[in-house]
Amino acid sequence: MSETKIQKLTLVANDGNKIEVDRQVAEKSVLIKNMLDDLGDEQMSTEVPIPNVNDTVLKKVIEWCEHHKNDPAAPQDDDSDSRKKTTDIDEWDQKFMQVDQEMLFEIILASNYLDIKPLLDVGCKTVANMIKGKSPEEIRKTFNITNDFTPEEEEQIRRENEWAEDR
Amino acid sequence: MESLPGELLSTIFKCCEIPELLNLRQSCKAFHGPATRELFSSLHVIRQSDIETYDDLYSILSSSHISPEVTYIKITTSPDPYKEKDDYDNSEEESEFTENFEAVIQSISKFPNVQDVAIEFAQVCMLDDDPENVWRMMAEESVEFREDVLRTLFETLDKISKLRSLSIKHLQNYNDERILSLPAFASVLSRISDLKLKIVTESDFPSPQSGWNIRQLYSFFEELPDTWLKHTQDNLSSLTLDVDIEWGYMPVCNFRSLFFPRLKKLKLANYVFTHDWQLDWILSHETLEELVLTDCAIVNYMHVYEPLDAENCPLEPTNDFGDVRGWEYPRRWSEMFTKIEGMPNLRVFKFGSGNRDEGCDFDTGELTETGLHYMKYKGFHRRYRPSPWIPIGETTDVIENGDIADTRSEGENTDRMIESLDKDTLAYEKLMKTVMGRA
Repeated sequence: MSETKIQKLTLVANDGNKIEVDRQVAEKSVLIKNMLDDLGDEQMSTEVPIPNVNDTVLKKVIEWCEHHKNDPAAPQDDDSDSRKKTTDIDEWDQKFMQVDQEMLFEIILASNYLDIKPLLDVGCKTVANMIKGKSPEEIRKTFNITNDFTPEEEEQIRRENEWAEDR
Repeated sequence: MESLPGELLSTIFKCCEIPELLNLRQSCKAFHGPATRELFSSLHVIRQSDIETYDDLYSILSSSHISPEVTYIKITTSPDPYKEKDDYDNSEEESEFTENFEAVIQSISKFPNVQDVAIEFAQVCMLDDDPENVWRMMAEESVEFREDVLRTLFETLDKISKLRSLSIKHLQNYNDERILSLPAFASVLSRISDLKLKIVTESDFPSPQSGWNIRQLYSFFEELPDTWLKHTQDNLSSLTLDVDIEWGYMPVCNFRSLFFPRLKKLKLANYVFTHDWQLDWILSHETLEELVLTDCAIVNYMHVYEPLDAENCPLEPTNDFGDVRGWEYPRRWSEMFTKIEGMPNLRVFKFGSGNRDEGCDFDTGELTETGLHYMKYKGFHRRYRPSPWIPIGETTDVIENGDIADTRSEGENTDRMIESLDKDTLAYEKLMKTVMGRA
């Protein structure tokens, strides 16, 4: 296994573009890491198709993985029921996430598909920060959504909200 | 954003606070469902001492589209469960177990998807078996009140087919036969896969040290394996045991009669190591994937006045009038870490000091200090006040024949201690590397 150990992988985006990355970087994706673990280096082709992600997004995701390649693996599945209160994001990640909304959601989708939990967390926290302190109308405006509730439904929701308010 | 799959919206909304969730529910239909789930999946009901109205709870229960979202219910029996012992002035009003509150507990089983249940008592407790003692402090929650709550709780939980986890915070260290003999007690414990107990012990006011002579302190822990834990053995995958005092030696708690074939996660807090069997017992659970030791210590020496059994454990812990007996347990954390590293399936190891403020680490599992900052060794001297647990300093104190010797001026001993800490550090780092490699 030591002789044939793959050091570089080529990721193929859904538009056919190929990007070569270090194995360590690619393994930030649990999906790819598990693939390597399951197939073993002998069976594994060095070309890995990523059918759900386009070239631009894949490059962006790899940029993140490169920067974070030496981060220690976070303890998995912290099943504590506590809400992730902290929406603090480190500075580099904040800058990294300064993209248009479409790109932001593409990154979230890609990190979910590729199973890169820390990146998914950063993406979700970024969106949560965009929601923070906003009224329903402001939320709609931010995400360009139309209000599809009838006045009766709105009234009903407001009433239900009172049950949860003083918790 | 509204086109993201609901599962991802849920992940995003997990990072949102309650005011935002309320607004998200109102913004559009795509957000309404995931925000509702996030908002109502867990309920917390606090017992009210004056006007008992639990309208919100019953409104949620009666809503056919919201009540199925509830999966977790926590009930707090006191409006101020963290009131400190020192803040009691013996004029506290006893908590009353009303019909209204009984109905609240019983309502848990009417939520169709409830799986996880937590109950939280007041942290101060007492046994009222000594009316002669005028100094004995009063607690708001009497043994009778706690018995009423627990009996109602277990009988209710027995009706929940999907029950998965049970958490009891501030469980009094008193084995109430009326609870233990309930058919629902054994039945509920044998079905759950996750049990969390935070046990509180009674201490006397105004002299806390006399709490050491309260019999239940020892009998509760002696009986704990046979009373609570035995029933859970076959199904338990996660076990948390936390006590408000150091436990494992005085009071002793012997787990050797137990084995949990499915155990994946074990958390022990405030537990002290004085015997090799303790770690060996943990290691015998090869299924373990996560081990958490918070505020745990190795006790290097013991000075006791009670008669000891063959394993140096006190036979009559409340009788401390004999001659002093000293013995040592010279294990180092490095030896423990090396053994733990050999656990075949361990993927998470957390070691440190918990944020014990309001029992925060029990609720969330958060640690304030981890790893190398927390390598505790202690000594035990039964007659030391206010606490018999003596922290052994990192470089200044060394044990000599069972006594702590101040070695600030003795370079050789200091070197020996530093050498031991270096070994601990190396072993810890090696263990963490191995464990993370498996994650």
